[in-house]
Amino acid sequence: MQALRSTVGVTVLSLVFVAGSASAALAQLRPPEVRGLRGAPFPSMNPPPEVRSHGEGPQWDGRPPDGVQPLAVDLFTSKDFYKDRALWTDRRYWRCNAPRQIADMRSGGAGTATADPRIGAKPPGSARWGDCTMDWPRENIVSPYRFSSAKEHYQALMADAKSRGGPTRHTYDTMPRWDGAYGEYAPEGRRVWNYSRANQVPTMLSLLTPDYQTRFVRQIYHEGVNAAHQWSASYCWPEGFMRQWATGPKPTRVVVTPEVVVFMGTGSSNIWRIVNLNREFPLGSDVRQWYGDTIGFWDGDALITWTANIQGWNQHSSWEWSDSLETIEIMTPVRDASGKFLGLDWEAVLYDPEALAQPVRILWHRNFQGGWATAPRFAYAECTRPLYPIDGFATPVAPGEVIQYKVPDMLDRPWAKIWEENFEKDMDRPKEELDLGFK
Amino acid sequence: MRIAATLVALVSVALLAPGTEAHHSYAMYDGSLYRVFTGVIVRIVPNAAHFEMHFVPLNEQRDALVRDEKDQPMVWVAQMESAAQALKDGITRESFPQGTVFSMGIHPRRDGKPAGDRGDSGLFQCPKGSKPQPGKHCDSVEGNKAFGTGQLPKHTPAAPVPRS
Repeated sequence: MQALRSTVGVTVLSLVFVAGSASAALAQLRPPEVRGLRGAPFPSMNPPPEVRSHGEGPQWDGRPPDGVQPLAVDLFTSKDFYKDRALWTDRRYWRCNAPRQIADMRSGGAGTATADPRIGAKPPGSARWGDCTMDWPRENIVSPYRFSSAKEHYQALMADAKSRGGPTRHTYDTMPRWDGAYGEYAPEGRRVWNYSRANQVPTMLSLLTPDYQTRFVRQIYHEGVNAAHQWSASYCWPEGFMRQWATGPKPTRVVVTPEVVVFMGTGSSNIWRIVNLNREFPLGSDVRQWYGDTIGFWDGDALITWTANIQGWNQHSSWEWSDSLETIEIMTPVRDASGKFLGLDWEAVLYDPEALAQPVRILWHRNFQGGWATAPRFAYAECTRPLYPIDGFATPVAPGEVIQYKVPDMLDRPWAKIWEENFEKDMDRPKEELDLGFK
Repeated sequence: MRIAATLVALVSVALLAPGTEAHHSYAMYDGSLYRVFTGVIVRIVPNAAHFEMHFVPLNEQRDALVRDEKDQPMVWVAQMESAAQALKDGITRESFPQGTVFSMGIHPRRDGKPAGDRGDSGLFQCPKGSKPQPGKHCDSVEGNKAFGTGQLPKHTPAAPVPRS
C-alpha cells in the first residue's frame, strides 16, 4: 500500500510538473501553420516525458504494478522471442519498459555503471517493470500530412511556395543569419520520441513493417536480456542518419550561404549535412551516403529540404531504417517578442516504405547559443576503436592482448550477424540465407 | 635554369594530380599473377578510395558456387579503382545487383587468402540469367557487357608451393 501511495504521489507530482513546463515547451515548438502543408500542430506536449520505472531498489525485482497480471512468458523469461510474436503487442511482454529502459537494464545508462541495475538480482527474470500508464501516443508520431512519399511532399511544398511568389532567392544581404552554435531543447530532460525513451514498445512496433518489427524486437532482446549491445560507436561503425535525432552526432553548428546551408555535428563521429539550395536530384552518383543527399529552398525565412540516397543502418535501442528512407525537413526560425533569434523549430517527416508502416514525424527545437566567434572550438572526431565483439559482447581490449576477430560484412547488418552467431543457436529464427541463384 | 624549373613544375603537377586516390599500399597483392574468375556478385561496396566487389566464384562447370571447408560460399573481395572511376565506368549497385554473373581478373593476395586487386583487368558481365560454358568466361557469352576498358588477362597459375 505504501508503494502504491508512493507511485500515485509521484504520478500526481509528475503531472503537475509536466503541466507547468508545457507552456515553456510550446513556446519553442510551434512552427507556423502554412495552408495545411507545414507545421501541423502536435496534439499534446512535445518533447514527451520518459516512461518511468515502476519502482527502484531490489524490492521491485520482477514485481509488477498492482493490478497488472504478468504474462506467463515475457521478454525476460522467453527462450525464443521469435516464437512470441503474438505477445509483442502486449506491453506486459516488455514489463511496460520503454526500449531504451530495456537497453539500460544492466547499467545506469550509457557510460554509467550502477550497483543496482534494473535487471535485478537474478537476471534476466528479475527485470523490473516500467510505468504501464505512460506512453507517447501513436497519433503524436505518425505524419499528419497526406503525402505518401518525400518527393510528393517536396513538390507540394514547392508548389505552395511558388503560389506565394517563392521560392525565396536569398543573397548575402538577405539570407537568414542562422550561423553559429546550437544546443538541444530538452525541457526538464525530455527528449524527442526517437530516443525511444517515451514509448511503450508496442507503440513503437506499430510504426514498423513486420520485418522491421522483428529487427527491432531482436535488438531489444539482445540488449536487455543478453546485455549484448552492438552500438555503432563501440566499434567505430558509422552512426547513421537517424542518430542525429538521438544521442548521436546532432547538428550543433550551422553555416548559411546563398548556395548551401551546412549543418554540422560531432561526438562519437561526425555529421555533415549540406543543403544544396535550388538544385534537383540527383546530385551525383547513386552511391548511398551515410547522411544522404539534400536539396532545399527557402520559403521566406523557413528552410525546406528533401533528403534521399540515405544508407540504411541501425540505431541502438530503436528501429532500423532501410535504403529507402527519405526525409522532408522544415526549419523555421523562432524569435521572441523583440525579434531576437532564439533558434530553429525543426520538423522532420520520415518516409521509409520498407521499414515504416506509414510516414512519421519528429519535431524538435535547436536552441541558438551564439555565433561562431564566441562558440567553443568545433572538434572533429576521428574514432579510434574502443571495443571489439568477443563472444558477442562489446569488450574493451588492452594493448597487446591477442583476440580472435571475425571481419564483419559491413553492409549486411553486422550487428545481426553477431547476435545470430552467439545467442540464437537454439532459436527458431527466420531464414536469411544468401541466395545467389546457384547451388 | 628556366627549363629545369619548368620540368620540376610539370613533374610536381603530375605527382599531385588527383587520380588513383589510393589510401594504402598494394604490396599485399602479387602483381605478377592474375587469377581470372567468373563469379556471382554478393555485394558492391562503394568505398571512396577503393571500390570493392564481394563475389563468390563459380566452379569450372559454371553450375555451382565454390565453397569453403564448412560448405559455405567462399566470398572473395576484389579491390578496384576509386568509387568515382568505377561509377564513370557504369559499375554501380544498380548495375551489379546481387546474383549478377561476371568475369574479371585479379592480382591475388600473396598469402592465398580470398582477396585481390583488379589491376588492369577487363570486366565483363553476363546477360541476366545466363552463364558461360564450362571453363569459359562472360566475355564469351553473346550479349555480354564490358565495363571500362581492357580484356580479361591470361590466367597465371600460382607457382607451386615449395615442399620443405
